[in-house]
Amino acid sequence: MYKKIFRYELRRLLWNRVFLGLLLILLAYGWLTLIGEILLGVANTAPFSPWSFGSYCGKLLPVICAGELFFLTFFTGTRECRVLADASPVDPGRYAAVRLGAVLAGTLLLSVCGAALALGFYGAVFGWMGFASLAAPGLLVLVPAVVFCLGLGWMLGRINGALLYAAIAGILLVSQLPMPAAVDFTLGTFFGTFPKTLGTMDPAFTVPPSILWGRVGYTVAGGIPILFLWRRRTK
Amino acid sequence: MTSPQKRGILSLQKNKERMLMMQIEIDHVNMTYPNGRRALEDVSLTMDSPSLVGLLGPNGAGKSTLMKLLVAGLLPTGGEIRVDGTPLLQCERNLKARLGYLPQTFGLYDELTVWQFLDYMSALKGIQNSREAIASVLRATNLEERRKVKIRTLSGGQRQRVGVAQALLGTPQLLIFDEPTVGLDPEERIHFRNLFSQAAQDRIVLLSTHIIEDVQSVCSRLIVINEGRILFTGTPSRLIQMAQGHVGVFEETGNAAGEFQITARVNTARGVSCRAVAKVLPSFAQPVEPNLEDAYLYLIHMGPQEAL
Repeated sequence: MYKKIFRYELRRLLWNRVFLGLLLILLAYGWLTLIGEILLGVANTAPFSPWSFGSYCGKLLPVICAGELFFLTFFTGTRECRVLADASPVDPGRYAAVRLGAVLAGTLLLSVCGAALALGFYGAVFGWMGFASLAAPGLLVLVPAVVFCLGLGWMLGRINGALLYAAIAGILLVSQLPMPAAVDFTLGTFFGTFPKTLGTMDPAFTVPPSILWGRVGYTVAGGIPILFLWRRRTK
Repeated sequence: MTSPQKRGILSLQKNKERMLMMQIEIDHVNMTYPNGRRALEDVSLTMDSPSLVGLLGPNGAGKSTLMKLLVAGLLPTGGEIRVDGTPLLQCERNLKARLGYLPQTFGLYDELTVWQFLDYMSALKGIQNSREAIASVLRATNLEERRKVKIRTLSGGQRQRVGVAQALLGTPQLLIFDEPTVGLDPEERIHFRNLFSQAAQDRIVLLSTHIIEDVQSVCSRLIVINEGRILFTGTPSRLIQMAQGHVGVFEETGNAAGEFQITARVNTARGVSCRAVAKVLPSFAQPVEPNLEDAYLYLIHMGPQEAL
């Protein structure tokens, strides 16, 4: 029963022109970023270093988060049939979890497509295949931001569906603003400047505690509303 | 057949009947919204299956609020609703498993086809054999030919039919329809009236509307509600009886004055013919046989005390 609901929710999110457009924008922007910035390497590191890949993920992050918030708009407003679902015997907590799972799956698909483009680029241009070393910067950029947007979006969507569009604009704006490295949403400052402070060419990937705490902060900030709303729905 | 076998079959049949039977009691229910608006005031009702109950009332009378309370979409601020003797709050999931609900306003998933949407709703309702259930409601709502069509391409009336179809899924024992015939053409309305009448043969169907025609021919019981209070509950013929001697017609002239409420104006060769309801008909009005619409308007305009 829940599998079927998940399948349909995912179909709704992915089987539409907006998703296709979003995916094309992501890939086009990713390609331009790869040949324009990443090809030269970031902060004196190799183009396929974790630093450059992290920077690339950070550049794609606003598009991925905008996609995630857009997915959440499917659960609000006139497109939503919540009143029908509320009158059904479905468990509200599990139903909410299934829908959030569908949003996460859609967001994961966008992220994987973006990452696959970079990996294909590294393989084709440099013949480099050490992809395992790129997992850490990729996860560091994506996971906290995705959890943060999921929590924020779900909370805003329950207040008013229109706020989700404001959140999309907000995320796109915040991503362009110069922020202190620890709270930088896209980690652009960190990947662009921190390697230079390490005093070596192409340094190994390390993350200072301040950055880690910043990412934990984003994850917790997104996780709390999810837990709170989920518990309330279950009750 | 031996008598123990007979007794066994009879007992099974009785159990089945008992399972299909349903009773809903609304006991002194009040509903005041957080903004202070009082939507329902001391409403008490009992509904047993099988019955087709028409809930009549003007816009804002409290019909939708009553329906939302019945589907546990709202909590009453006073009183209690019981399903088969159990308070609604204690058997909410059980009620919802036996419920088909068409709200006044609802969203549909435009990205899905009619069939897919009904399949989704079947999953929400936990229906095991969804294929058969969907085929049956598609037939009942004349949507078989549109089953592969995306919902976004449907007309308003067809969307309403999809709404009715999802409510019918899984043959629920309690069907609640809030303004189900809105947007339907006259032929479809007749079709749906018959459908509701058929469905009410073995369950409770509660039909909320402000269109008298919808309930006139099919409902065995009427509930008239206005300003959150129940004004009448009984058969349509009893309601009509109440208006006997209070409905009249007259030609409209400049000096036609008095305590009456005009319910219809018709242009005729002799001028404008008026139909009116009044506690005491004016001398210039010719009494006529009331119909359900007259009786309803008489009740709404005079109030229950005056009307009796």
